[in-house]
Amino acid sequence: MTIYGLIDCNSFYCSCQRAFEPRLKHLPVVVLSNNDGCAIARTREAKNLGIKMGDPWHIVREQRKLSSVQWYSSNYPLYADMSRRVYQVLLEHVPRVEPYSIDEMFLDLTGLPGSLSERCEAMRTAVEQTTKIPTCIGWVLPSLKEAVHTGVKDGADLIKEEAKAELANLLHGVALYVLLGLHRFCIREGSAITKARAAFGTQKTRNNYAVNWRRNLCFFHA
Amino acid sequence: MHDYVGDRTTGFASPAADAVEGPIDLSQILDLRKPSRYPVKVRGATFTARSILDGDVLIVDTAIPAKSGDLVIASNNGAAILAELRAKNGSWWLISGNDSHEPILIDPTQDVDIWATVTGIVREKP
Repeated sequence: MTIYGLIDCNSFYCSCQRAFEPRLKHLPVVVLSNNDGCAIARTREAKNLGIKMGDPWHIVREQRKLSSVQWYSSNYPLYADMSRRVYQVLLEHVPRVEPYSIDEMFLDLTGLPGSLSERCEAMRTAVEQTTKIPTCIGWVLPSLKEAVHTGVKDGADLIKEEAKAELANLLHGVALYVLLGLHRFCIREGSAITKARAAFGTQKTRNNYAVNWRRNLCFFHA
Repeated sequence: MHDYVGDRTTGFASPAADAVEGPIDLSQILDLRKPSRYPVKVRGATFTARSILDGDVLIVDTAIPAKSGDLVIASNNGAAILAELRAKNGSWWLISGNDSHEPILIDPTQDVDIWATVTGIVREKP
C-alpha cells in the first residue's frame, strides 16, 4: 500500500524573507497580502504577539507590543523560486513529489528502504541546508494506521498535516482532485475533529472510520 | 526577437542551419538551476586581494561543504558577510579580507554560521 507523506514549510513567506536576512532570525516577522492589506504569514514570534492570520495590518500595527515586528510586502517571485528549490531537493530524496500548494508537497514514501523517520529527518535537514527553510513532515504507516510527525510545530498545524497525510492514505485510489477538494473543505472547518468529520462526509463513511482525538495526535481506524 | 537560423531564405539556405546551438547559456555553465545555487551581489571591496570587486556577482552554493581557504558567505550576529574560511587550532574561523578585523570563531549557538560556499564569480564591467 502506498505511504503518503506531507511536507509543510513553516511560515513559508516569512522563512523566505529570513533566508536572505539573517538579522531576522529571532525577530517576529510578518508578510502582508497584496497592497500590504493583511498579515498572511507570521513567524512563531509574531504569532506569540497575538497577530492572527488575516489581521488587517493598518489597524493592528499601531499596537505598542508590535513595535518590534518586521513586516514585509509579499514578494511572490521570491516565494515561487524558493518553492522550486524545495521541490528539487525533495526529488533528490523520494521518487515522486506532488506540489499541493506553494509551501506544501505530498511525498510518495512507499517502499523506501531503512527507517522512515530517519529518512524524513534527512529530508528536513537537506531542505533547510539548501533553502534555509524549516519544515515539518507528517506521514502515516498503513499497518498501524498511526499518524507520525517530525518537526516542532504548534498543535493545530500538527493535526492539519497528519489529517492531510491520513486522508491521502485513506482515499488512495480516489482521483487527486477529489482529495484536494475534500481537503480544502475540511481545512476551513475549524477544529480538527470537524475537519476529520467534514473530510469523511456522509454518515455511512463516518461510521467506518472512528475518529479519535488524543494528545494532539489524530488516529483513524479502518 | 526571432532567432535567426538561416533556413528560410530566398537565396541559398544556410548550410549551418541544422547546427545552430543558440546563445551560450550562463545559467547552465554556472549551474544556476541547482536548488542550492544562489547569485549574490558583493558590496564593498575587502577581497580585492582575491580579485573580488565591489558590484561583482558571486555564485554561491548552500549544499557544498566549505573547505579551509574557501570564500564563504556567512552570517555574523545578523549581518551577512563575505569571508575566508580557515581551520585553525581545531576550530573554524572567518577571516575578513580587511586586516583590521579580528578573525571570528564559527559557532551557530552564538549566531555565527556559514550560509554558503562561493563557487564562481560574474563580473559585468571588468
